[in-house]
Amino acid sequence: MAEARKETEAEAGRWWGVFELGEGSVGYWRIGPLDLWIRRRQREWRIAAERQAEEGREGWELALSAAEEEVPELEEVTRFATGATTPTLELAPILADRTLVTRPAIPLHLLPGQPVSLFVSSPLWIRIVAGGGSLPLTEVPTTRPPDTWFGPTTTEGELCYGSRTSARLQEEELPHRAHRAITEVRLRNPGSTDLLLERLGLPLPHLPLYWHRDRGFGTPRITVEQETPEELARVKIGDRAPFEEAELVSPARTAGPKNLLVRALGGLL
Amino acid sequence: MSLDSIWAALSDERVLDWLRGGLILLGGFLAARMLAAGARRLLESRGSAQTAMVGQRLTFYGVFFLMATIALQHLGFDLSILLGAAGILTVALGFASQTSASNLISGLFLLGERPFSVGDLISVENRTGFVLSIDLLSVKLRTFDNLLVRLPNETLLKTPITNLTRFPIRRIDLQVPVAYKEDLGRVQEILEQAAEEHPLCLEEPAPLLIFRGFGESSLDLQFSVWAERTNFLTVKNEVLRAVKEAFDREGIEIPFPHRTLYAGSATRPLPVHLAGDEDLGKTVSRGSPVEPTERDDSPGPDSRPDGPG
Repeated sequence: MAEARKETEAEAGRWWGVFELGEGSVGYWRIGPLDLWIRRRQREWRIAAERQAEEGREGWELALSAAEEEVPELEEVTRFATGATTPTLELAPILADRTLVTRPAIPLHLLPGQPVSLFVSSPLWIRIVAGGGSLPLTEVPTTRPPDTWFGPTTTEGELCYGSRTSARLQEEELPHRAHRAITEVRLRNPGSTDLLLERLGLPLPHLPLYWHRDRGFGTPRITVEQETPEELARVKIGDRAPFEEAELVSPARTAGPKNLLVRALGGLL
Repeated sequence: MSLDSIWAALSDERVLDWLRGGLILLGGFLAARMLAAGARRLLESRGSAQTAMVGQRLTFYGVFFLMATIALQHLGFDLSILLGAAGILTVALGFASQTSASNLISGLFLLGERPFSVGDLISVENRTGFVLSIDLLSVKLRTFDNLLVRLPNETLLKTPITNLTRFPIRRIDLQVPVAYKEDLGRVQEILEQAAEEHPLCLEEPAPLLIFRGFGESSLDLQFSVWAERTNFLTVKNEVLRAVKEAFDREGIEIPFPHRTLYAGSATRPLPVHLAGDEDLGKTVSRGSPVEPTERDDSPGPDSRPDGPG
């Protein structure tokens, strides 16, 4: 049963979905830089995770029948006690739980009136749910971005994740990776002077996640409009999927309005 | 005393009034307690622990004062006379309890100014702890070693208070001394990398390196990193550890205090004892080794008469 299920998900090009784990067996997932082991015991689930450097780890791999002895001794092991475990286990990709602040390697000048599209990739989190969807266990980031502060002063702002990747102007420059989603950001500067783009806040908790077999993960396009670095930006989240025939993998964490007034560009003392 | 006389005494109108007054007071006390608890629950679900506490106190004292007034009126007291008497009494009491009154007023100012609220971590006069309650006369703190500290409100109003949990992020200043021979550019690279590799270290505000000056034995550097306030200790410990490990790996020296001894203008090479088996008991000075007896008894060829020898 487990084998059959594994093939269906794997054939469809997915590392997520609903899996079945026999009692005492261990499921192993390698998703980008993350190695994830999930072990089912009679009355508990054990989840172990380990992360490597991101370079060179772009694909994924999945094995549902690893022997218990193969699981290495890891520091980061979490135990979840339940009444009695059932075989069903669901893994779902989801976007990060905080805004992601990405900084272009070289700051960009946004010229007035010129619409510019930036492509930003953000790491995915994995939501692990047991008991046929009724027992959320935990969420594991595929890679843990560093914390950062986004705001005009150190007393006013928001705790975010920082991104070391650079914002690119062509989608083709961004590799499609199994653990990252790509967001197109359409920037508009309606003012009359240049706007220096030093950092860009991506409201990930407000975005749904889509997936396409050939194009990977993506989110709807967002449009950011701002005149001066000091003011708040008008952010509009698109309604449409990023690609034709893309399927919705997970809805936004925060179901909110499609138009936001947030701190999206620049501005930190 | 017969039962009849007790009954007659109890049924006396005055005794009954006192009984009624007492009942109103008791009932008032219970009602005030209940209402105050209700107010606390209501405010706790809507606001902070501080608002709930203040709400509870105000409700209790308000209701109890009202019931006490009703009880007194029931007993036939003329409240206007009572208030007049209370005025004189207050003056007398005020003189007698200056400290308490001062604390009381200070407490009201503290509540109004709100430099901290219940649950905050504050530091006052070398004491650091979580605020347990802000009372009429004092503020109670729970320190890290789980002790209760009572700080009079008056003291709090007079002394500087540091609130450690007001803002979400904090700067952590790490003192890093390095030896004079080290390349500061390389040291800076290593420090910045240590901060960059720690996910709880904030990318922005960026880590800051301050060159504090030429110390007695070291170049004194301050490396300041930012972190979310709840991660303060974790980041401090882990970044310091990472810095130590990186310095060890890269061969960067963290110096211990150095002392250079000068023996006046006629400094001779200092004799050095070698503790190895072969050289045990021998004294070596720079240039030519000499026997200890020779050194003790006769001055060396290069010593001058004004030197200490």
